[in-house]
Amino acid sequence: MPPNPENLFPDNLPSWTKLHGDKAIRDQCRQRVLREGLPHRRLEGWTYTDIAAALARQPSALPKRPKDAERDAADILIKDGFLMTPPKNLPKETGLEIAPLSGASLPSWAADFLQEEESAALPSLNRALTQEGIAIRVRARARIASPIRFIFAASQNHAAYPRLIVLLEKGAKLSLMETHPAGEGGGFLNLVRQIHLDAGAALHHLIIQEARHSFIHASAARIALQKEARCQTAIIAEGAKLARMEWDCSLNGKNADAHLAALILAGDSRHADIAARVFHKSGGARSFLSARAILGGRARGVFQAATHIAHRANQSDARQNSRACLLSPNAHMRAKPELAIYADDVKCAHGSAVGEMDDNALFYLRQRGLSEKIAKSMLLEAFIQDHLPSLPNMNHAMDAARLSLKKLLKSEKSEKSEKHDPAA
Amino acid sequence: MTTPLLTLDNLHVAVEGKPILNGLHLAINDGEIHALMGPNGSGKSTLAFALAGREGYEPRKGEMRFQKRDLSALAPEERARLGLFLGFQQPVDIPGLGVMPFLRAALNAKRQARGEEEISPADFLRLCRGAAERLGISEELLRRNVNDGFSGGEKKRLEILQMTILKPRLAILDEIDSGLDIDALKLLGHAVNALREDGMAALLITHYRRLLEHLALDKVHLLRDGKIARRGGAELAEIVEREGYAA
Repeated sequence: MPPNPENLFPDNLPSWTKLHGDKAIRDQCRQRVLREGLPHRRLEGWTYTDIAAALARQPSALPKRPKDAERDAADILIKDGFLMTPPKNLPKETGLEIAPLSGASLPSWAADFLQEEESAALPSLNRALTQEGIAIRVRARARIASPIRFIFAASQNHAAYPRLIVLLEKGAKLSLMETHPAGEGGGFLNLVRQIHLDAGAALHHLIIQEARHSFIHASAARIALQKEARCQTAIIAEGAKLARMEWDCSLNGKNADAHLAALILAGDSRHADIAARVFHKSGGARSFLSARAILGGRARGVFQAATHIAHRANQSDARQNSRACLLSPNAHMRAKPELAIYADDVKCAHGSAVGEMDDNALFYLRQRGLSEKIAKSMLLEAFIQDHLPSLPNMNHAMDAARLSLKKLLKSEKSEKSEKHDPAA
Repeated sequence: MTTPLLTLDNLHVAVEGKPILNGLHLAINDGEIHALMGPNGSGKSTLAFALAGREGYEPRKGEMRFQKRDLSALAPEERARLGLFLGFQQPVDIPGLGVMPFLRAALNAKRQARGEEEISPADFLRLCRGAAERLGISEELLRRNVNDGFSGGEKKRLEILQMTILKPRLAILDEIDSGLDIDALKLLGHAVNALREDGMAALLITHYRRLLEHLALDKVHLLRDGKIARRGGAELAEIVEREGYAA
């Protein structure tokens, strides 16, 4: 079905599309989407995820600002693309500046990010229709002790276009925890994160995307690291009707260090596509793109990792790794490694494996008295644990991953029992 | 006459359709140490897997009785909880699973099956550290993941540690001596002897007499073409080592 991007833009755009005095850039982005269309399967990088067709089949309306009151002041709530946490409840700490992306008083450092040109379709669509969001700045050398926690909630059948801006100045340190909670019903999220780390800054970013069977989740992180900056991102994705999570990182200085650890834990007929790209623009930087997937039911997991090492970016150290464990014969994993190396003196490695649970290991544990169910669960937990140790917010990430795994194993069990139940 | 702890009667096992064990008879009583020797491919490891309940190693004919129970009717974990322990020839690496949590889960599974309470973390730590110290296993090894990055000798030591902590009724040790240095062999001998005093029996699968020297053997069986070709006392191991399996 040929998608018509016109449908994404109503005749009368809501008032929030006129915020920030940014009409010119919104129009420009809108024109780009109309001209170039949305990504479809014939495009490189979108072979496994046909978001254009999914959006055409399941249109979502632009929402009005929801009326619910913010309840939990510990988390910043963004619902249907609107910031629900009142400014007075936003976290406060020395060196930390948080500005809502709305109203006339947007600070110039945040406004600069909003003027950045978009080149890809989905971020352009986001920019054309950005509702609200948040901009975070951490001053030079400030180390923010508590993680900043976000919840991106969605009501049914609405399209949300929030934006998150993060600026860490020299030597600043911040931890972000982002949750996309489970829910019922359709809808579309198109989230864009713009992240900039100055020299020596460090960001830990944990993203938890919980299962939404009928939802279309698209999110992108665009990260720039200056010299000696370090970004560690963990993604735990349970998948959705269609989930596409992009992570692009540009290493612009020596000793910049980027690590993405993606974990796909999807069952039923959910889909999760994680597309990571890292650009070694400067020599002497390190990157590690790593994924683990546990897939059950008819779930589809995708990990596309692309590493580009520019000419003269010598002494780059780039690794990619992907391993998947399939719990069901109908689950699928696609792993697509790409390495484009234009420098001579580099260290690069990649590896990929897809298989079922290791029978030898299962027997070993059962021989020590552990039931088959417990042994399987321990092995899968080990598969995850082995992946996560170097990550930020380790305890929280592991707890979230365990919970996701538990849900996945439960759905596997009920699917199997349905198959064996002649009445079903 | 008391019933043996383990009785194998006319045991036939085929793996992937190929007959490996062809009418094996064996009886082991409580507290006895038996050695099973035999050339490569004679069926020693097949017997170990059949006893432990590995899929694909089910008997086609004959009987396996352990503590008067028909082993064929039991899942691997049920056999383990009854007290049947297999020390693996090639222990499996499990990255991501810590040695201590694994050992504690295994011990608790066994205790639970006997209607006992779970061991407290403090008591388990004491038990584990004490046993590790006696076997020359470092704290550092205990903090690592199961067999992950272990040398051959370290893997075998971890098998012995598991046996020591789980205190089985029957330990089947499949070439546990390969990869062990002389000191470790001595420690293994001590560990088996100590458990034997509590009534543990053992079936040692080996090619060499060097481990057997540390133990008071009750019987030696020579396996050939899936059958016990010869039985004897400790002297049989000496003959085999001197003259080879053709003896």
